[in-house]
Amino acid sequence: MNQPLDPNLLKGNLELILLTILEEGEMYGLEIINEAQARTDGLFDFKEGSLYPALHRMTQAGLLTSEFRESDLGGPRRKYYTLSEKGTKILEKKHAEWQRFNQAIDGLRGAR
Amino acid sequence: MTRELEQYLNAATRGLWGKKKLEFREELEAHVFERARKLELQGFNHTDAIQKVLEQIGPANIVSRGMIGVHTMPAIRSGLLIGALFTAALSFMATGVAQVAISVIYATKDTITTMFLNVDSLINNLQEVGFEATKSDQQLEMKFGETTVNIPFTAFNSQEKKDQLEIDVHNIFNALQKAKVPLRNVNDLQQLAFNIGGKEIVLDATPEEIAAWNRGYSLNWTFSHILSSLVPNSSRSLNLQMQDNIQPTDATLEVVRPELAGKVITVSAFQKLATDKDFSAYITNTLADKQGRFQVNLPAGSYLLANQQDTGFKLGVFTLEMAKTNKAVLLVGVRQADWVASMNKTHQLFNFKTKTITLKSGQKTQVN
Repeated sequence: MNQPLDPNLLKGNLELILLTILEEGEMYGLEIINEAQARTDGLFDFKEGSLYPALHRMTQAGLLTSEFRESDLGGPRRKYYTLSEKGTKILEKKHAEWQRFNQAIDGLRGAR
Repeated sequence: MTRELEQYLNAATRGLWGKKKLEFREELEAHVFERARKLELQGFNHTDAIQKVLEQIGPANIVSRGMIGVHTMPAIRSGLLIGALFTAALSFMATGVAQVAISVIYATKDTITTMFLNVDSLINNLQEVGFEATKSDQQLEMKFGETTVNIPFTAFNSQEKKDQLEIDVHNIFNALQKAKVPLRNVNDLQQLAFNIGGKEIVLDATPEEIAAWNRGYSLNWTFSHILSSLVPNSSRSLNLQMQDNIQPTDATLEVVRPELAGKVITVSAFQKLATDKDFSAYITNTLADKQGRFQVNLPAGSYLLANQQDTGFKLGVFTLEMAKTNKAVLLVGVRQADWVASMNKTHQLFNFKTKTITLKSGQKTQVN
């Protein structure tokens, strides 16, 4: 497992990270946490206290849609989140911004 | 569900209301359940697994704080209620025109209104107009003659409002009521006012804000909620006062049940707002007379539920179409747990024994 990241770095980019994960398809909260850990070798480790408010905020903003569905494990229903059309557009925009930012940083390093 | 999980879910959803609260509770419960299942497969027993998961998730108040931020801050941004950091000037009519300001940190948009006031600002303002108010560790202390009232507050720990101390208006009035400090509220189209310890306090709000409050976010509802959370016997007189302050309604339902004579009936009404997902609510208590007669107001487009704990009486009325048809679906003997569960599954509403009653606007409709 990687050394943990600065939590502020995760927090500051939470929306981009969640949108990117959900680009793969609909997921529920715990699945998102597991997916983030698996795909980053444990680098992105979300706490519930920041994940759920973020998911609800993004749903309110129209970036995600959500739906309750029965769990195959039984028990309470899971709430699945899906990227909306608006969310997809925002994701594209944020990815482009991220790339420009990275290029700028590389440019700075190259200029040294 | 273990007691520990129940307590955790209660704490983690504190401050949320109505459908949002129920849905987040279910979402979080599913999360804990699934994580615990994994531990159970590793050999933990169910109780230990739940406990371990809750420890891993962390304090419930961190979760609730984040969720409150999501579901309350937009109300301020939209200016629907009182606006971000709205400064309310209070005038105490009993003492003349002393103007004071209270910084409102935020107010909830959905269901019952909650305001979180800045503690230091509140103390200054109260002292300015002659109240004895001091701050001790995590408590605001107010004195009314020989009565001392302690009101808990917490640090508001978000990025925007770091290190501010907040006090929930609910807590203030809960504490005042429990200490039997005379308390009543007044509401009309010109002003919003309430009375604490014989002093009348008027909120200096704009006509738009007053209209918004009168539409459903008024102090009435806050007070009604407070009253409903108290032990019925200790709040009867206040509850009866509240009856005068409930908003005008389209119709009144009069219920006569001899077994309820002299009993306090808790009435909850949920009113649909602009969208299917938004609900307002008021909860109040009313007293059945010697014949077991009591009245409940039915705002157009409301769900309503009345129950009485001692006798197990339950009455549910759903009047979603009332504005159009004056018809209400009356559910007799519905269990509250079923009703709450049915909020997410509309079709279940009609599994109960029902009959349709016709309501006449502005008139009583009696159900025996």
